[in-house]
Amino acid sequence: MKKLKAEFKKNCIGCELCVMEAQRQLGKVGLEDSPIRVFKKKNKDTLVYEINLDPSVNKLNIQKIVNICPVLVFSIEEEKEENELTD
Amino acid sequence: MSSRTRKILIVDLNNNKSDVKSYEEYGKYIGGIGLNAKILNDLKRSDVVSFSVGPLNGFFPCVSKTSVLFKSNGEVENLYLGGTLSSRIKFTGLDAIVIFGVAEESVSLEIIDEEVSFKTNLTKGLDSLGLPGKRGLISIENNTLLLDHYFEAPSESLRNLLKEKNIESISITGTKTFEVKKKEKYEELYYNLLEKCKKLDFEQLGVPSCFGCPHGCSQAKLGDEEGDVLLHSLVACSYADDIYTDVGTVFSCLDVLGYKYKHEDLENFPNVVYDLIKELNSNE
Repeated sequence: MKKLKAEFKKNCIGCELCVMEAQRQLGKVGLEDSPIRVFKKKNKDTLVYEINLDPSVNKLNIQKIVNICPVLVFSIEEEKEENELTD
Repeated sequence: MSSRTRKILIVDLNNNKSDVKSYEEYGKYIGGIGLNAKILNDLKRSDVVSFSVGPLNGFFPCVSKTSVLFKSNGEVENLYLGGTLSSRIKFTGLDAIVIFGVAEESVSLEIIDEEVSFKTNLTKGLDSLGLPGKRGLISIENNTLLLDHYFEAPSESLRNLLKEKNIESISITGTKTFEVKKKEKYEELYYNLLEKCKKLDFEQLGVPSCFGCPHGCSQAKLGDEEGDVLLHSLVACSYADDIYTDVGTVFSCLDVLGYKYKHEDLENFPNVVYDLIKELNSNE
């Protein structure tokens, strides 16, 4: 299963284009019930961002979410099934 | 969405009361500076500050500012704030937030959609206001007016006004979502405009960005002042003026969201606003 990961969240500039992309795919515009949430925190004289991903985001077109981020926060990882045999 | 009705939250600091009113006749003033100028003229009070967004805020890229209009020492002050504020106001379902009067003691206004709480003792700090992730915050910290603890106003006049009104902070949380009926056309236009925004001449600084803007730029931190009337009625970023001063583009954006304006409405609009500002300047 392909899974969205906020691998480079230190890059985040808080534009929330990812949030709106996810919401567009769900047929709405707004922040409520978004599978992606961006929280900001004050850090000295700037802001740092925390990105929360609800697992339901992986049902969406996550490649479009990766592509819309202007600062390359996201990656897609292949998650192995729990009962999959490994070498 | 009606092109005519505008919903306004009116906050009375003198009596700790608030009310939401809808005005069908305000539709022709679009939003931002146009709507704010009409509101201030109609209220005929000198102790009013109005925060207004436009029909495209929250829906299109680089339409990320909030228009703020008030009078200070008899002069009209016209500012544009960045950060997440415009999207949060939009997602309350309101078009403008109007505040008048003076609070008896230092107060923080917690606005969640159309409800206002007047909080006089914030024991848990500013971040206890509103809902995290969906909140925009205006606060005075170290004698500076900040949005979301980072973005600033382009002048000190708004900070001074809020201090005069005894306002310590304003938190605005929007929990509404909207469905766009012309979904495919909306998405096509959105991605087209986002590509145009990406091509604007910005130096990528990697600093905090305004909502819906792919550029983290130094200008975002300081907000905007003067500029094109249509741009500031929408209320778009001045860096995106090549996009949002084009009447054809603006008409398409409004149409896809269901706002029924005519090209002539938009073309004649700047003169309507100039007259309102002139009237406002001449009022005592």
